[in-house]
Amino acid sequence: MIKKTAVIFESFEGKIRPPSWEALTCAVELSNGDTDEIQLILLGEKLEALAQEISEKGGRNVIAIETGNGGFYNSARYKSILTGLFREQGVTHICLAGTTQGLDYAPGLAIRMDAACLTGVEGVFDAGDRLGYVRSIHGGKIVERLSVAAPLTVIVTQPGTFKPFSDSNSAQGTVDLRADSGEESTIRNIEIKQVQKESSALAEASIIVSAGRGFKEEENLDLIRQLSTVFTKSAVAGSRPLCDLGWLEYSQQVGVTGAMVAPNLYLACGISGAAQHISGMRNAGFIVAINIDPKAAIFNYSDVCIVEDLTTFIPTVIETFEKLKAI
Amino acid sequence: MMKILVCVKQVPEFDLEAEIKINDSGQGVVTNHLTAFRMNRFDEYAVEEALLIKKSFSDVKIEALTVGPEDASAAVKRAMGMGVDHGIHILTREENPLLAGQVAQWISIVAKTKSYDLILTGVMSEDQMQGQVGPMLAEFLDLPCATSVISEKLAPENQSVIAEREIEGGYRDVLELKLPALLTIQSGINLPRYPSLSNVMRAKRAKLEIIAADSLSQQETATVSALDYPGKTRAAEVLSGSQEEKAQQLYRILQEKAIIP
Repeated sequence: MIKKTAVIFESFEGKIRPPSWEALTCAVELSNGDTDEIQLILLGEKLEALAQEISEKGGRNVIAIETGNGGFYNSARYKSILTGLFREQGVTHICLAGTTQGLDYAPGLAIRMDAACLTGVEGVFDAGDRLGYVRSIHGGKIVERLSVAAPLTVIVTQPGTFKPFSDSNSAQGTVDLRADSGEESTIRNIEIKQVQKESSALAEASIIVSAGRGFKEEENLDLIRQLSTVFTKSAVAGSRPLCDLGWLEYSQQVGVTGAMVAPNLYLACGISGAAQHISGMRNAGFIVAINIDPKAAIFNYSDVCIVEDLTTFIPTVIETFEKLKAI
Repeated sequence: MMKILVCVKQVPEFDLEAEIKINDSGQGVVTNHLTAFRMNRFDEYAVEEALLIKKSFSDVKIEALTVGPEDASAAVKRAMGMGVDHGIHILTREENPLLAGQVAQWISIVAKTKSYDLILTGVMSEDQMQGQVGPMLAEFLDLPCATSVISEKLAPENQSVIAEREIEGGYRDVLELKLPALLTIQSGINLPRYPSLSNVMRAKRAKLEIIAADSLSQQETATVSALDYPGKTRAAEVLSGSQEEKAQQLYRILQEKAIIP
């Protein structure tokens, strides 16, 4: 079967969202050399320069659609525009990044187009007469390999799992600039507002000490703060559940909905290792995990694994490190 | 009267006592009497949000719905224990995999007969981690949909709801959706309550509305799944010895890697 894949790029404040380049890599991996076609799609406002950029760096033809509506993303409009476009183009696969926007419209788009839909895709493989997709389930403790036979498949990639696309040899594609504001929508965009500045503390830290649900009591979080002071240029972070409990600030959250970090050392304490968290820290230079559960998914992403009870082990680490430092 | 539907899911909890294992068919995980089941945490936020709406507006009825085999009804009972008025269980056969598109279609068939003003779901399930049933259900019902909602305010006088979607980098996408609408609720929007004793007693006595999934539509089978344990992406060197020995080893490793002086 000749595949015709569309990759939907996303922009925010005049810049391409980095995970869009990962979705292109996914499309390239599932395509079969020269016989298959990959088309790049971009929706939004004032797209000319961005469309040029992705046609150059992506080396493929771009269809950029000015959607009006003040440049706002609107799921109802996007679904009607994309359905029209893909029916015209006759695509077999649609790839996009699992950003909050991608996850907002992709499942509905798939239903509207009678397509199969996969979210959280971390890899693709050849499953004989069909394509296979790899994703994590049960908090990262199990890997699921799915093979899908459908005339159209929507593939939503897990951020951070595919490499960002880059190919310096690729010839520049063409840009087809269009306008379509979609149908009248039952959703009205009001504004995009910033509720929290991106934390410079996490971005600047060379060592991040991070806490997860393994901390059963709020008082125990003092341990993580003390542990962080053992290191220089360090910061305290955590997984989403601790922020939801109000034990940590959301600015300290690492993961898809929080900060994407890459410190020299990421010290994960009591973090189970669900995909949403892994996406935010998997590019750290060195990863050490401490967890009482030897089967914790975080260990699969770690350089060093320590199976211990946090409440007794962290004080030992602090004491030992202070002693060895003094020598 | 305003009618709210909350979709909830029963998920297995695997931990030290109940280790996760793939079953013999390689297509599912082993669950037995040792496996603890509970309501998907993300759904607890959706239930709580519905209860908060009921508290702010008079004349609100909340129904909770689940899809799954017999045992799944515990999630609906839990929701009723938290204060939900009525429970619906779309009963599947034990061997049926729960595919998102199929589940959404089943719920849509039932929901069409009930004329809800607002439908809430969790942002995703903890076991399958897809985040698909909510937006797919909205599509089947042709409703406006907002996912990852971290704040909502109903405006019944305008027949609308203002929803703030949590997006990347500390931003929120603020929308007005015409009712009826569907919202998937992000964790952290509220602090879900524990079931109260009186509600739990009421839930125990209450009869759930049970609908056989087979009577709604046939299962699709285009997807084949095989499960595996994850491989390691890094060295995953496991330290051994006493706590102090492990701490010393860690110190040396970090020194060798020039991470600490």
